[in-house]
Order: sequence, then structure tokens, then C-alpha cells
Amino acid sequence: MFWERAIKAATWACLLAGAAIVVGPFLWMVSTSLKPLEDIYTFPPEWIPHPPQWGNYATIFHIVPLGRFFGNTVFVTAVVVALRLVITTMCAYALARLRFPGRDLFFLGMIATMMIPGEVQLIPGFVMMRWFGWLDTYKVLIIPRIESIVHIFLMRQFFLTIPRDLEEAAIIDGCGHFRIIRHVIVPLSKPVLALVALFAFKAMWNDFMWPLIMTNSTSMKTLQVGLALINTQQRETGLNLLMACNVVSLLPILVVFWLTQKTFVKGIALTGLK
Amino acid sequence: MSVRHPGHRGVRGALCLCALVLWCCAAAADAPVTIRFWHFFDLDAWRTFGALIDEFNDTHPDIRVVAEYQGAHGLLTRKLIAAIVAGVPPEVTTVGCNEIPRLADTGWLVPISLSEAARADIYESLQRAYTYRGELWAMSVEGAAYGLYWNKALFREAGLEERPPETWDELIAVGKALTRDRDGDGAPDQWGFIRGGADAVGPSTIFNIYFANEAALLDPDGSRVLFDTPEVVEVLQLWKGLADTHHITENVLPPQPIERGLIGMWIGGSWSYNDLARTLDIGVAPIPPLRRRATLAGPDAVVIARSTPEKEAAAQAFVQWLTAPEQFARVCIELGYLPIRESLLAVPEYQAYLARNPEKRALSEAMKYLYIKPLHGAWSEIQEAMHTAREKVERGLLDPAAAAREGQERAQAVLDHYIAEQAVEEDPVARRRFHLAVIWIAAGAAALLGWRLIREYRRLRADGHRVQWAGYALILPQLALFCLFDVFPIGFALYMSFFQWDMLTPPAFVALHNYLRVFSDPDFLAALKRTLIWVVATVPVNTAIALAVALLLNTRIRGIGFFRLVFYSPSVTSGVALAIIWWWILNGHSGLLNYALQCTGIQRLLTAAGIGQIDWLNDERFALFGLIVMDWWRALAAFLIFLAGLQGIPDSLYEAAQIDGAGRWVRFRSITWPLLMPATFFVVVTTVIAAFQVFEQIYVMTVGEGGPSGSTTTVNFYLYKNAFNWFRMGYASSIAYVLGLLVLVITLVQRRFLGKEVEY
Repeated sequence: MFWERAIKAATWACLLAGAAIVVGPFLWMVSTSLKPLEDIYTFPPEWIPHPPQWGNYATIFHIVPLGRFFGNTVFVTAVVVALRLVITTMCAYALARLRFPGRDLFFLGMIATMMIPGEVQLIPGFVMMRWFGWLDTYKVLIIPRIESIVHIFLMRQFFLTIPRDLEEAAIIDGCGHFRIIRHVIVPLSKPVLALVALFAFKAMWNDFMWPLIMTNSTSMKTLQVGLALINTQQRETGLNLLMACNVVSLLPILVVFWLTQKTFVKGIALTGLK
Repeated sequence: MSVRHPGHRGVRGALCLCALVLWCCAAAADAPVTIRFWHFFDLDAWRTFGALIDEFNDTHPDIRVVAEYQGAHGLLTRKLIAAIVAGVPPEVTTVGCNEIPRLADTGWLVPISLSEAARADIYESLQRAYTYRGELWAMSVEGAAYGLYWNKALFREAGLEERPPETWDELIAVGKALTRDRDGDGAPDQWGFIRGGADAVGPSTIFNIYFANEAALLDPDGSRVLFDTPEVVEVLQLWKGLADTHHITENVLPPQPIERGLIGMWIGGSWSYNDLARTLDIGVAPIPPLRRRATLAGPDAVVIARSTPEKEAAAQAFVQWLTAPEQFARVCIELGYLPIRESLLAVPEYQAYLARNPEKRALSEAMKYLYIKPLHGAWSEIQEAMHTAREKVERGLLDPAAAAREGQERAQAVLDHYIAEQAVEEDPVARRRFHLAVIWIAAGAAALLGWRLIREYRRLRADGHRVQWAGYALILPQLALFCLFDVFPIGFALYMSFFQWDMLTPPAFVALHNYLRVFSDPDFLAALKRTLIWVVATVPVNTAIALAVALLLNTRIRGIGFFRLVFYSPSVTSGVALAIIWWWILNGHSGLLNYALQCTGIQRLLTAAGIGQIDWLNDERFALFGLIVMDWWRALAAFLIFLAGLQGIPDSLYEAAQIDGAGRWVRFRSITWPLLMPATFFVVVTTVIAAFQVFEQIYVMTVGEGGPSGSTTTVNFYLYKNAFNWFRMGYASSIAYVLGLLVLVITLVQRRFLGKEVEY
């Protein structure tokens, strides 16, 4: 009994130590964002700013168009997530359920392209966006980002586990494919759909390289690109403000994750995605 | 629902439309010419330039200047080339002096038109800096020169005479008096001099001294690097001696040392004067001479793009207005920049300013003995080799002579390669053959595809299945996206890897040359080594940490939800945000990591081993390791997969084993580990792929450079650098393919060895 308890206590201690290591940098960021500039470099570090400079948060919205960056990211993320859910569901359904020549070839072809590093596509992607005249528009931030092969793979695997009986009943009732998707597949696939939505949200919110290269004007920049830009401008002279920007960029995604962590965890256990 | 009569609506609509068209025409007639102005001004500089641009817009109703910040130098240059390629360059932009030859070569620039009077007025040394192939391509926006700054307050405190040193010997003597241990802990906390790494003291500082010692660095016809010369070695020796012999400076100094008044003297740019003078009592003097008096000028400039005649005229007017004496006097006064033309000295405001700041005279004097870095298309790469040599001397990794030799070799190799690239002449026959081959292969692939589809169709029918044509409709959107944004780019990149292409000039067919070069390129091999180090250092540790966390959490402990939340948080955080936090944690002087090392006593061991306090991101020996530490912290996410795997193992197995008297370790070895194999395999494979493709953290942490001295340049980063720093699109594509192939092979090998027991 004693040993059981001791082990439990040791486990707890280990986990708490680990948690401290993980949380530390985040707290450090918040702490720095609330300090006046002259207190930043004190060593050994002080964790609690006195007095906290809440004004830093007001300042950042004045000196950089953070609101605009934020709005761009929210807009682009929302549109991409919505479109991705629709297109991916349609495609995965066809891949999982319908028989037509070239189906497996298409699926395998998609899987094969996942091997090639994304940087390969950056250069031709850029040249192509120029041909289309999409550079520096919302189109370039949205349309090429809609597809995600991993998510198609994920959904297809999930759809394969749904028993066919239900659909067969629907087909006998004369339902078309769209109605089957809407009334049979979607209600049964809520966990995987939620997971795809969350992962798409995460990926889009954090997307960096593509918008960096494809946009020029300040009004088209997303949060991550704006942040990297502020980083080059403020790292030396306004670390507290930079950290405040960072907090603003992180809050939404952390909050979303905290609120949906059950779905996340279940989905990850289900699919092995991380 | 009521329907309105369509007639009225139509008439009203047509009238409205007519009005709109008329209004647009009228507006277009006297609409101002809009020109875009890209800049890299920081917030301070922008306060002045922004106000000037507003004023310009107010006083020139026919022109509208729209300014956009595009990031610091390197970032702006990359964006600029991208914009030129895309055919959407800004009409006016700031650029670094070194970029001018390359941009001029592309035919994208318009020479600056200056009146005779202006030509006579603007300093000749500046005009020289922007003249390339006989044309003036740029106008200065910061008459910039370097000077020896000195902190008067520290001089007074140390009881020194209040005048700047005039020779290097004097500087060293003064520096010794200024280097002090103020808090009595045995280590100095105030230094006589700083060599670099501060905002005001960039990596180019040493070029002042190279030029003062008459080092040419590149021969006039641009074919030989002159770095392994007595002139350079002497300077490197002097540079080394400042820290190692005379101890008036150190490598790791606290952040912002100059601003916080910890530095007695430094060689800084004129642009930093005003900012520093706001809080410090500083003076500026000429840099002490060696063989001659010299100061480096590499002033940033504005250039004008080729566009429509109206826009070009507007751009010329804007640049001329901005650099006119009255306007530029404001820049000089508010930002501390140096005058760029003689007549500026006559502006009353500037005279009053000089009277208030006699120090500025010394800097203005410097404009007379300006030297510029060689104007050469390969200069930025050559310079990188020179920076590396200096850094190695500073870190004590090489002695000055050896560093000069190494720098010479590397720089010369870069230059030779550049020259060879310039001289490439493509074989039109080979090119045509290649294109024919591409067409044949494409046609063959299409035929094969068609044949397979037909065969599949027949087989489906033969098996008695119905072909569900609706499938095509359902996959159509995805198919279109896939072809456009995956298949085509991948194919195009492959095609491009057989060409040499800088995006600005037409591509030249070089057959397999790019691929052959990959394997003989020392920089690629070094990058590959770093990538392998990264893989070896991160994959086992990340996997082990994830497994450990999963095992700890799988003990029916309280608060599992909380821990899950905490341990997964780094994974939802963007690479950019994390890099910003970690840049600050890895800071050499007041970073959290070093503090942790100190608290845990590890720092004492390091000091005993002679390493001292580590400046993680600025020390080429540790930079990669610093990034690896961050990766360990970040890559916990896989614990969820292990946890899922663990929870899938039935309890009955453990109970049976316990009855048989198996201990914890035996149970783990014989039950948990084998049954967890699929999860392990999955985690390892995905971690390996991610490790090979590591990019974002490095990009943000090193501000897009992969430094110091390339020590964090992994393969993927080297690819990016080739593509977007040096614009070797073909070569970058071939690296991408080599990397992709490598990842593929490794994944297959893993599958063979690790995946044997895994059903997949």
C-alpha cells in the first residue's frame, strides 16, 4: 500500500514538473508582455511585473494594424474550414463508397504526393499564382489551401467503418448521393468532421510560409505573417510589445483548443493524427 | 411576394449606370497617379518618412504615394524579387546598396535623372556608390557613414580626459580603463568596446577597419577575392586582440548593452546617433586610422522601377522631392542621418542643428573618405563567407591567418561558381531534345492513364458492377484542386530542376548539372549533416518523452484532463509564436534557459568545462542545439497517440501477468512494448519526416538567415535560401527532389525494420 502511494506521488511529481516546464515559457511570455521596457532585462528574471503594464496591449493596436491582421486570419480561416469540410466530405464519400474507374489510382496518387516536401510546391505555386493574377488577394490565401489530402485520407478511413446497411436503406428509398451524405453519413461522422474542422482551423490559423510569400500589401497580411514582420521590427526595441502581439495571436487558438479538447483527444485517439 | 414592374427599374438602373460611368471618366481624368513605395524603415525612421510622405501627398495633388512596410532588408529584397517576377513591383522601393547591380542587370530599374546642378551638389562618393555600368541607379535615403561613438558619461566616471581616442593604441588604453567590475562579483559588467551583436553595431562594422587598412577584398575586374591578404589578417588580429589580449570586450554581453550604458566605445552607423543621443551622453569621432583614414558607406537607397511613363515621372518627382535639401534636412535632423549634398549644409535649420550638435560635424567629415563594398552580383554570398571568418576568429575557433585562408577559399569558391553560372550557355539542341522528351513522357503517361482507366472500366463491367458516374462529380472539386495545386507544381518543379533560372532572366537548360552539383556542394553536404544531427537528436528523445508522458498519464491519476491540456498546448501553438518566445528564452544573457541552468547548478559544470555562459542563438557551436532543445519541448503531442495505444491494451493481460508474478519491468517489456508497436511505428515515421523537413522555427528564430554562420541551415532551409535568397530556382528544385527521395527511402527502410510486426 505504501509503495502504491509512493509511486502515485512520484508520478504526480513528475507530471507537475513536466507541466511546469511546458507552461513556463507561456507564462514568461505573458509576464514579459506586461512589463515596462526597462524591466525586461533584469537578471535573475522576475516573473511578476510590477505594476503590470496593461497599456502595452492598447499600444500594439496603435502601432501595427493588428486588428486587420486578425480580421484577415479569421476570415480566411473560416472560409477555408467551411469549404474544406464540404469538398473533403464529398471526395471521401466517393472514394469510400462509389465504384468508378480510376478511383484507387486517384487515391494512391494523392497519398504519393504527400511524400514530397512542401517547399517544392512553393516556387511553382508562386509562378502559377502570378499567371492567375491572384497574388496579394484573398483568393491566393483561400483557394489553394482548401484541399488537404491527409484529411481526405482520414475521412475515407472513417467512412469505411460506417456500416453500409443504413445507406442501402436510403438508396432503396430513392435517395441521391447528396442526400445520403447529408442524412446518413454526416450525422454518423460528427467526431471526424469536428476533428477535421479543428485541425483545419489550427493549420490555417498557424499557416505561415504560403501567405508570407503570396501577399505583399499590409492590408492582406495574416496574423502569423504580421507577427513575423513585427518580430523583425520590434525584437530589439520593443520585446514587451512583441510578446503582447504574440499573446493576442495565441489566445484564440488556445481557447478553442481548451474548449474542444475532448473532441481533439478523442479524434486523435481515433485517427492517430497529431 | 410582390413583383415590382421591371420597366422602371431598368430605366432607373440604366440612368444610374450612365451617371456612374460619367463620374468614373471624370474622376479618371484628374485622378492622381498612384505610386507604391516599399520601405524597410523601422518605427523611428517611419515617423519622419511617414510625415514627409503625407506632406508630399498634400502638396502634390496629382500624385499619390502609398507606402508599405515590407520587413527588414533581407525580407524586403526577397519580396521585391518575388514581386518583380510576378510583374507587380512597386514603383519606388528602398534597397540595400549591394542589390543594385543585380537589379540593374535585370533591366527592371530606371536610372535616376538628375539635373546638372544636382549632380554637382550631391556628394561624389555617394554617386559612385550607386553608379553601375555608367548609370546612376539610386538615390540615397540615408547619407550614412560610420563613426567612433563614445559614452561621455563613462569617460567622466572613469576619470578619463573627455576626448575620443585618435589611434587604436589609444583606444585600447582607454578601453582598459573603461572595462570595470562595478558590482564586485569578479566579472566585468562594463566594457570599453563592443565588436558586434548590438542594434547599433552590425556585422559590417569590421569593414570600416578592413578599408582603413587598405584591404580591397575583391579585385577590380571582379574575378578574384582578396581576403587572404596581410591587410585582412592584420585587421583580424587586431579584432581578436580586443577581446583575447586586451580584454576590453567579450563575446557574450548583456542585451542592449549600448542603450543601457554598459559600453564605453563602439563603431556605429550615423543612423543610430539620434536615437542613442536621446538617452545617453554620447560623442562621435572619426574612426582611428590604420594605413589610411576610411569609413564604410553602404547607404541604403531608393530605386525606381520601369513602369508607365506617368508613373515613372511621378516616381522621379517623388524621389527628387524627398532628397531635396529642405526635406532631407528634416531627415538629417530628426533621424541623425548625414547630409547627402553640399547645399544641405546651407539650410538654416540644419546649421542650427549642427550648432546644437557639434558632434555631427565629425560624422559629416566622414563623408569625405567614404569607401563602399564592391558592387558585385555575388557580393552578398561572398560577404557571408567573410562574416563567417570573422565570427570564427571572435569565437576563438580559428586563428586570424587560418580564418582568412578559409574565408578566402569559401568566398572564391562562391565567386567562381557565380562566374560559371553567368557564363552558362545552353545548348539549343539539347534543350529541344529535352522538351521533346518531356512531351513524349507526358503523352506516354496520359496514354498509360487512359489505358488503365479503360481496363478498369472493363474489369468492373466484367465483374458485374455498375459504374457509378456520380463519383466523378463528387471528386471533381478535389480533383481540380489536386491537379492545380499538387500535380502541376510538383511536375513543374521537376521540370525546373533541369534549368538554371533566377526568375529574372530567361531560364537556361543545364541538363543534370543541378543534380550533379547537389552531391559535390560542400554547403549542401554540411546542411545534410545538420539535418541528420537534427533527426538523430530529436526523433528518439521526442518519442521517449511522449512515451514517458503517456505512461505517467495512464495510471488512473487525478487531473488527467488538466495534464492533457497542458502537454498538448505547445502543439497547437504556431511556429512563429513559439519561435518568438524561445528566441527570448535562449537569449545568452538574460534568457530563461541560462537561468534554469544556473539554478540547477549545471552552469557551474559548464563553467568548469571552460564553456561559460552559452549564447545559444549567436554561437555557432550551440545554435542548432538550442533549436533542438526547443523541439524537445514542443514535440510532446505524440503522447496522445501513445495514450490511445495504451488504453487499447486490455487490462486482463496485465492481470494475468501479475498472477504469474511478473514485475513492472517485465510487464512493460513483454506486454506494453510489443502491443504499443503500431503506435510507436506511426510516431517514429511521422517524427522522422517532420525532422527532415524542419523549417519554420529556424526561419523565425534566425530572422530568415539560418545563422550564425549558417550553423542552423538544414537541408530544407538551404533549399529555401537557394530559392528565395539567391534565386537559384532550378538548383533549389533539385535539392527538393533529392530531399524528397531521401525521406522516401528512409520511410521505406523504417517500414522494413520497424514495421515488420505492424499490420498496416
